[in-house]
Amino acid sequence: MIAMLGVLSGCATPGRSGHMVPESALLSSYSLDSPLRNAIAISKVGGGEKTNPLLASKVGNNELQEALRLSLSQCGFLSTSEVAAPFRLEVFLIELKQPAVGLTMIVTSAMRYKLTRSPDGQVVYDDIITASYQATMGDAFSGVHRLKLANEGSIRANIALFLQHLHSLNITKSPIQ
Amino acid sequence: MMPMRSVGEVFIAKRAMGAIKGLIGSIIILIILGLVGCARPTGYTKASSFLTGTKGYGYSDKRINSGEFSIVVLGNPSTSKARTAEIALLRAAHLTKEEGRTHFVIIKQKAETTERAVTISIPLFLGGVPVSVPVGEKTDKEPMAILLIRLLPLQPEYPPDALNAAAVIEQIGKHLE
Repeated sequence: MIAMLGVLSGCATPGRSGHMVPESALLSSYSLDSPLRNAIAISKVGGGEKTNPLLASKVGNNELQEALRLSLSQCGFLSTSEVAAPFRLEVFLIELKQPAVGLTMIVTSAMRYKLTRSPDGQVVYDDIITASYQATMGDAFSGVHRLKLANEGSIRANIALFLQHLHSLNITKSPIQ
Repeated sequence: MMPMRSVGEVFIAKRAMGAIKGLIGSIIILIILGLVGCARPTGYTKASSFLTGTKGYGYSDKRINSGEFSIVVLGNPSTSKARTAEIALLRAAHLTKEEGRTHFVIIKQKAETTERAVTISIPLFLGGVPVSVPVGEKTDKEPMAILLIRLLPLQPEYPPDALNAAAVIEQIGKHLE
């Protein structure tokens, strides 16, 4: 029966990276003298889940990592060198709270962001960010697709909050400064 | 003038009426059970997995790395934030014991109120078949507790911020389990 419902409503596919990137217009522009400018490398992404086509849409590690890479790049935070980056970012998807069914689907994501300064290993940012997004019947008629939109929107909102935190972070690139 | 019905027809009509009454009775019992189920706060229980691949109320955990875990507790609308936090702490203590350790430290904790859109439906009987018809939506508030913990290796003395798993189970396990 589940398989039949899956066929009727369309198979579930994972969240799309491009749809989990915050719109650049919503983000404040970074300061040119920010120590984080072109300085962050993504060292680890975890907590994501693979999507079973017959079940609910999830967010996988690869898609999340790509969304983070695109988001950091868009804001000018991404380092061009992964080896020599002054800061390393670890992200863990703690929870993706999804409804089983519903007309309006509200998804809440909780992600841990841990930013470490490479030279001395000092943790300069470590926090859990939660964000929600709701997709309605107006967004998509198919429940499977509506849930995917809610997943993507929730991750997008979560990354946007993290980027806002980065903008307001008062840190130095080197421990000596 | 009403046509006379045979004994057989009367018998079949009575049986059909009995079946409909039974169906209505079952629906009422299910509604009552549902209401009673929602009225009780979430207990110390592992979050159930629905057929759709989404999670229900209760605790769940993920391994972040060899010594760190994330614990998430989703409570139903009748559950307080404090109770979900207690369930998370109790799960942390049990997890510590399951991993063969005695003490853990809390790295991060967060308590959130999340939303869930609930479809309000009424049963309509179309040709004797009950059909659930959505007539509106309401938004339920549900608590969510997040705990990130690090398990400490076995050692003679533990730092002051370390929590003794056995003591936590003894203290809060009584009224939750």
